[in-house]
Amino acid sequence: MENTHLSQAIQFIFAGLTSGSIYALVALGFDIIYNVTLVVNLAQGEFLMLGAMTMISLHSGLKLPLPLALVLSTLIVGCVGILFDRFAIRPLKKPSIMLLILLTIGGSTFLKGVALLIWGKDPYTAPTFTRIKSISFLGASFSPQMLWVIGTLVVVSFVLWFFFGRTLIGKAMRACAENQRAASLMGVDVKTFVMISYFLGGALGALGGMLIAPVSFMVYDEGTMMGLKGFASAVLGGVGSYPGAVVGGLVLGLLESLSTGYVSSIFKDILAFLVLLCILVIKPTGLMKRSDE
Amino acid sequence: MIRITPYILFAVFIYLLPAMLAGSYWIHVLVIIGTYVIAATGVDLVVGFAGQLSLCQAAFFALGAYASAILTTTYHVDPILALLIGMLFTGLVAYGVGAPVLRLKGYYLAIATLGFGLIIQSFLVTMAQYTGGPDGFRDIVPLNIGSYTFKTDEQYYYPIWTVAMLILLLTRNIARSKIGRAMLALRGDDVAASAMGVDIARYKVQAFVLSAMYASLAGSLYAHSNRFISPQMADLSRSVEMIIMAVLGGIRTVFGVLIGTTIMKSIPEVLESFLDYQMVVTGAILIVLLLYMPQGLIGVVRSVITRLRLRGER
Amino acid sequence: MGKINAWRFGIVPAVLCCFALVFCVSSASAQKKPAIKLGVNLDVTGYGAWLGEPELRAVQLFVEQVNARGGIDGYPLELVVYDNESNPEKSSSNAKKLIQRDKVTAIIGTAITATSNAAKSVAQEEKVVTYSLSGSYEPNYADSFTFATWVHTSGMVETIYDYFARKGIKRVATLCATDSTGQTWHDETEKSAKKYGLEIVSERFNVKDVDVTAQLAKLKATNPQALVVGVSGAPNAVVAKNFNQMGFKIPYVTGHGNISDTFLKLMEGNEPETLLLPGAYYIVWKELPDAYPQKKLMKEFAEAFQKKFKKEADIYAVVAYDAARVTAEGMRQAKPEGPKDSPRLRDAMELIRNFPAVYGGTYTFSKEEHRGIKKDAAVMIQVKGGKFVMAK
Repeated sequence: MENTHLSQAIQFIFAGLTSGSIYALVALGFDIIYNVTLVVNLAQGEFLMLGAMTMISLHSGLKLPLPLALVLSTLIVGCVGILFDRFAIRPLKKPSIMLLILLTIGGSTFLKGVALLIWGKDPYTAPTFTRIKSISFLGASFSPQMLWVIGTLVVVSFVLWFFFGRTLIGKAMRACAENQRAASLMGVDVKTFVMISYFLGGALGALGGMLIAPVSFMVYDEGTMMGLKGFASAVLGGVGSYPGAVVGGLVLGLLESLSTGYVSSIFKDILAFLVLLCILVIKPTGLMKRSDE
Repeated sequence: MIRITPYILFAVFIYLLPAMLAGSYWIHVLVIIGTYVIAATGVDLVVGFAGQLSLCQAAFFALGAYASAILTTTYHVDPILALLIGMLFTGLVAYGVGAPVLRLKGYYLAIATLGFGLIIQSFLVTMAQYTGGPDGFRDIVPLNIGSYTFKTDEQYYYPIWTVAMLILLLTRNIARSKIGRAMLALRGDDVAASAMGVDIARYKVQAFVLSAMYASLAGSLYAHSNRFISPQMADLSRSVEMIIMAVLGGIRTVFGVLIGTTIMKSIPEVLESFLDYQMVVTGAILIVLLLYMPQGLIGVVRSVITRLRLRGER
Repeated sequence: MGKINAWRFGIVPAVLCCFALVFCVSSASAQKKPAIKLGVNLDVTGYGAWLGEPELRAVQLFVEQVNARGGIDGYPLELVVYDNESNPEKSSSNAKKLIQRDKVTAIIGTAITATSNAAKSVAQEEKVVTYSLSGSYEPNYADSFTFATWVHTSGMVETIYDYFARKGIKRVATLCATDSTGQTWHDETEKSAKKYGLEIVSERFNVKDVDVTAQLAKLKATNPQALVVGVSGAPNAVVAKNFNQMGFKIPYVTGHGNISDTFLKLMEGNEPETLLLPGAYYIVWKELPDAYPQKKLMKEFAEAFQKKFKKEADIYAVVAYDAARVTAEGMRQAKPEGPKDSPRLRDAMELIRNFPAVYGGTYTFSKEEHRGIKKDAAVMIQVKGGKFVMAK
């Protein structure tokens, strides 16, 4: 009896960590853009979808080897991010938070529409990164793709920590976020850093999409829900906080999975947003930030 | 006096229109436009005047619609009473969501309303025993005032547009009142507002609750005239559409709301053979609108007129 | 500065032109030759598109065939088609447009339950025959003007349970989506389980879920002998992947709405060992003996569809084709000239008895029965070698 309970619990935890990692990747991309530009980018989910679709087209359609398709898709969607900023955000003459949010919503609708025209309404599947079908661990079984997902999050987190904490460019980008005017007065090229932040945002979103596509499937409007949950994770952890994004994503994923396992599957969809509302009411700055930040 | 003339002319035009269109399919479209004008006016109030981004107006619309549907069809409550109960209920819900969040930084309301809208939509799908679930709620009882029952689109046209015009008038008066002008002047500058002793948060909540009640009213009318509703009506994309309706014609103007709603609800009719392009078109409209025409179409016309006048004066 | 001016200036007349265009188009389409008009209100784009597209093709094929043979007793059959984008609001607008503007005598559509429900109020209010192609749409109620196709989900569930009875399966687990199809499957599997004396445990999931291992783990703990998955389309791929991952060895049964090539492609590489679905006899028409009464009809349809569209006709095409056939049969009796004659058309359709179905089985209608087809038209089907074959 003990074994079944333990293996069930492990099953739920793995499922939670997997979806949580995807949310975290979306949240990280979201945070990067926010930190440098103060834009709440609601099109983040579409970057996820585009990354997956592009990879599938390159690999299954053009028959490119998987690793090459992965790298190319990341670069392509990163560039889409740059274009997004250039044409949908930058031209705004009088930026206000409200207008910016609405613009990103408009951008998200546009990108979805473009995806619909290119790929249609059909669902697409992608092959898993490794051929092994299933791994068993203490009675729980899961797909090795889950390890890829969680592993990528760990690597990405480390790379971002190093980039923003230890490199000159990263530190300059953080300076940008603190005070754009001061930064430009000190010779920092704000426009370039904005471009970099959108590139990274697009790339991270795409990465999330490519990791999750082999686990389920991808359709032109699949990005929206993922984007919103990733966004909820970012708010949960504290908007703009990178550790917050990771913690928020994993916590959300685990909450969803454990509630499905131990309570009921019916409330899974709304759980993310209930948590979001509660956080806003109780501690709007999120879990990881101090209240006065 | 002169300022009232366009409105009176418009009212006369509205009442004569059905006779001119005589049994055409467009009366059905106009009935839908009428209900959405009511909802879009509410959006204009909270987004245009109070400067708050509410992304769940469609959810309030759905709450009103489902309240009316369930109360009248399952529990045999009088339709007008059900409509008022729906408005009260939606107003209370809006207060519950808005009050704690509106005292926070600008975009928090956007986030909260986003989440709230999704919760409502999910709720409507899950509580299938009461709401009919994802297949929607069909055979809604028709609206009746006393012994007169409204059945056809021609019959619904008049009460719906009468309410729409009254709502536009009411909102115009709110806009020109002390409260409206205060909100407008201090919009976006919370520090100045509190320095002057104005409790801007209270006005924001009021605008939010009022807009929710407008949406609920519109939803109830829609439910009775369409006889069928589904959880799709609460979707985020519908809320975004409503925002476009308020902004496209010209924010904070009566005719702007009318133009914006008419265009948005006519696009699917016009784009009949190019439906796959609809999403791209909507997204592009929103982006172009916000970037290049934030004052809406009326704003464009106004600036064109001003420019022509200036040229003439040279 | 100058560039933006032109942009702004151009938008207003452009919009006005659009409106002028619409009015021109609508008045132009009002003038047509007298013929029997058949309206189509289908989900050609949007969520239900994978159903709506083949359905539209089948109706087009039928109309072509009828007109090639001289129409319905000499009256040409004319088709008017609108896409409702799987949107309920558009669905009722389309229905009104078809009746008020285009003056059709009957409407075929829609593909999914939500849009069919939306069209229902219009059908009843305007008293125009409307033939739904959705499997869970309910057409039987007082003075009904709507009809429906497919063996109802309850009939399909019974087909499954009959099969379980033959195989000695008594403990059943179900995993149903929270969407329309899933809800129907959940309700029907629970209801029929009592009738058949089966032990049943159920879980739900969202069609957008990327992982259902939590739900499957809970079900596995009850040691079921079969799993019934209540969802149509892509989400089945997720469930099947997780199902295999977790090492289940029991039969995996899913709904009739999945019988299509898209499903086979999605499941490629992830098929459970025993993958079963209840479905119409049409699906396996090639295996049927020539003596089977509808075989000739099925063969003719399959070949005509393949020839015209260079694609195999799936079950969605079949139900649409049958709906058109039944409606035409009623039109033969009633000869409707406009929407006002639709009540006579409805009455004529209710008199149809033992009309052979391409689907399998026969249609028998009455005042109370607007679906007309029973579970004897369905059979258990298995996926073997990437194809649908009769289950043993």
